[in-house]
This record gives sequence, C-alpha cells and structure tokens, in this order.
Amino acid sequence: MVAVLNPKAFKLPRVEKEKFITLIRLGLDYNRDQGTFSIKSYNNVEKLIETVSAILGDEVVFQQTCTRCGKNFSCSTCNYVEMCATKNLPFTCVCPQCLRDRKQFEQYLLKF
Amino acid sequence: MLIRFHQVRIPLIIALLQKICLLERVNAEFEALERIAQNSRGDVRSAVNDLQSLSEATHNLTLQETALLSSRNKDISMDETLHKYFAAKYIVEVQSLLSYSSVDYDDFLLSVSDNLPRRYTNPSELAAAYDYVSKADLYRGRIGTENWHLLKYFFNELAQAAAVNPESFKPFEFISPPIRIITLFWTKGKRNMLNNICGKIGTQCHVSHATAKHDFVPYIKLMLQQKKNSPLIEWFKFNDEEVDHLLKMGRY
Repeated sequence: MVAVLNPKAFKLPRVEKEKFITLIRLGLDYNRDQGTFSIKSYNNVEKLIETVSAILGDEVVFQQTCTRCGKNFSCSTCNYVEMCATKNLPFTCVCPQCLRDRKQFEQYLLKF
Repeated sequence: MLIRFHQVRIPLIIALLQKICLLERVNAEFEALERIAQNSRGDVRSAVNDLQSLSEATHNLTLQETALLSSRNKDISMDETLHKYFAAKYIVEVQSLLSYSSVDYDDFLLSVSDNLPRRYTNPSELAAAYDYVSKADLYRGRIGTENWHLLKYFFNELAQAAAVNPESFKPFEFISPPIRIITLFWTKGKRNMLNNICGKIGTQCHVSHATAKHDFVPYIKLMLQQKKNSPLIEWFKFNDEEVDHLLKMGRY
C-alpha cells in the first residue's frame, strides 16, 4: 500500500526518542500543539522518506502542490505518473485539472 | 558537493509550452503539446525548440504535425542508466539501454560492481551477478581501444548480471560515482604531496619517482621519526608540510 502524506502536516505513530531525533535531524519539524510533523528541510528528503516509510510500514509518497491553483494533489491522479522520473521531488507540479483547463490558465497568467 | 539535476516533469513542460503559446499567439492543441513534452524526455530546451520549429510558420499546431518529430535519442546520465539498469526485467531491455546510453563503460562497470550488494541481498544471486560482471570486465579488457566488435558480448554479460532475479528488485539508493573514483578524488592532495616529495628525492639522488617512492621514502620516514630535525630535511629541501606528511603517512 502507498501512503500519501501532506508535506505541510502529517501524523506519525509515537516513536522512540532516538527515532524522533533522527527524524528531526533529517529535516522534519514537529508541531506540539497539533501533534503533526512537517518537512522543514529538503536536503535529506530521500533518506527522510525511507525512514518515514519504515515507521509506517508502507511506501510513502508526499502530496504535490499545484503551482496554479495551490491545491494539494497526489501523483497517482497524474496521467504521466508512469513516465515521471521524479515522483517525490520537488513537491510542486501542475495538477491534471489545471493542465487541461485553459480558462483557469489564462486567469493564472493575468495574476502576473 | 554533488548537485543532481533531474528531468523536468511532463506537466511542468506542458505548462511552460502553454504559456509560450499564449504569449506568442500560437494556437496549439493540448495533445500536440503533450506529445512534444513526452518526446523531450524532460529536456525543456528541446521541447521549446520543437515547439518553435513546428509552429513558427503557421502559428498553429496540431497533433498531426507533431508526427514529424523524431524520437530524441538522448544521452542519459549515469544515475538514470543505473536506475534503469537495475530496474530492468529483460536482458534485451538492458542491452538497448546500454547501447543508447553514453556513460563511460569503465565507470559504469565500477558503479555496477559497487551497487550489486544493494541490489541482490541473496548471496547466491549476488555471486551469480558478480560472475557475470567479472566476465563483462574480461570483455572490456579485450575490447581495449580497438576491438569494439566485442562490445555486444560486454553488454550481454552486464545485461545478464542485471537480470539474475528481476522479481526481487526493490528501489534503493545508488552509490554513484564509483567508490574507487571518489577515493582517488579524496586522496588527490595526498598523492600530489607524495609526488612532490618523490620529485625532490629524485632530484637529489638521481632516481625516478617510482624508485624514490618504494626504496627511499620508507627509510627517510624512519630517519625523520627518530630525529625530527635531521639534516636530511635541509638536503632534500623538504618544507614543513612535506615533513609532516612523511611523518604521518601510513601505507601508500
């Protein structure tokens, strides 16, 4: 099974102190109030994904943020997922709806 | 520091082409842009060039017109070659991959050798894979710089090493560039220093660098360890760094 996580806020099961320190060193940030993790640094993101996958016991994929509409979406909804060589990084792409919708694209261009 | 530049994703290339079309007033079908983006294999420059060459005359672009595009035979990087090599399921797949990749064969052989233990966790599979790699190495040696007709055998042995057990493939982090090359890179400063020392010994004793390295350096090191302000330092014209290097150096 593939777990799709939001890089801005996701929850993990309670982990040991050493594991928690490893996660923080790999670039995660912990929000105590909400009990959620978020990605602060992308320098070790491959190792980070590996560690989070080991904790969850599932393959982990982070959600992408659409550069046009700003919504989060999963790579599994993309038509080009099989041809894509960079499924995990960067975390920004264009969602399938925005790619097809010409009107929305024109509105997006008008913003600049 | 190693900075990797990955392929640009197809949706991002399509989005860029859409923007260009809008600004340049080109009426392009979505499917045509999609085809250009797919054909570019993540290379933005080639996608823009294709768009320009197809739409420059008419300012219209249809899917039919993109049929004229020939498939881009791109050079693929070492990382990508390694990824496709280890993920391949069939021998033919690997052979075609190696034939259009422009990686250096010696570097690739070293990288494959470094990464095999990560690919095969089963010892018998690993042994079989190394056996094929050793045969590939044998052919590489026979090819040298002229017997390129043997290249197909080199590819064949490498392909068999990749396809020992295709079902057991799980993605892993590659060791690249090869450990041997990284080691040479990291020890370059030390090797240069030793080379300078051997040069100075050679000048004074009228011997080659190789003789200085093997017959003189170990004894000079012992002498300096026993007497740190030995007159040898002045005679050989060693500087402080070289003396320090000689005293601290291990095996070479």
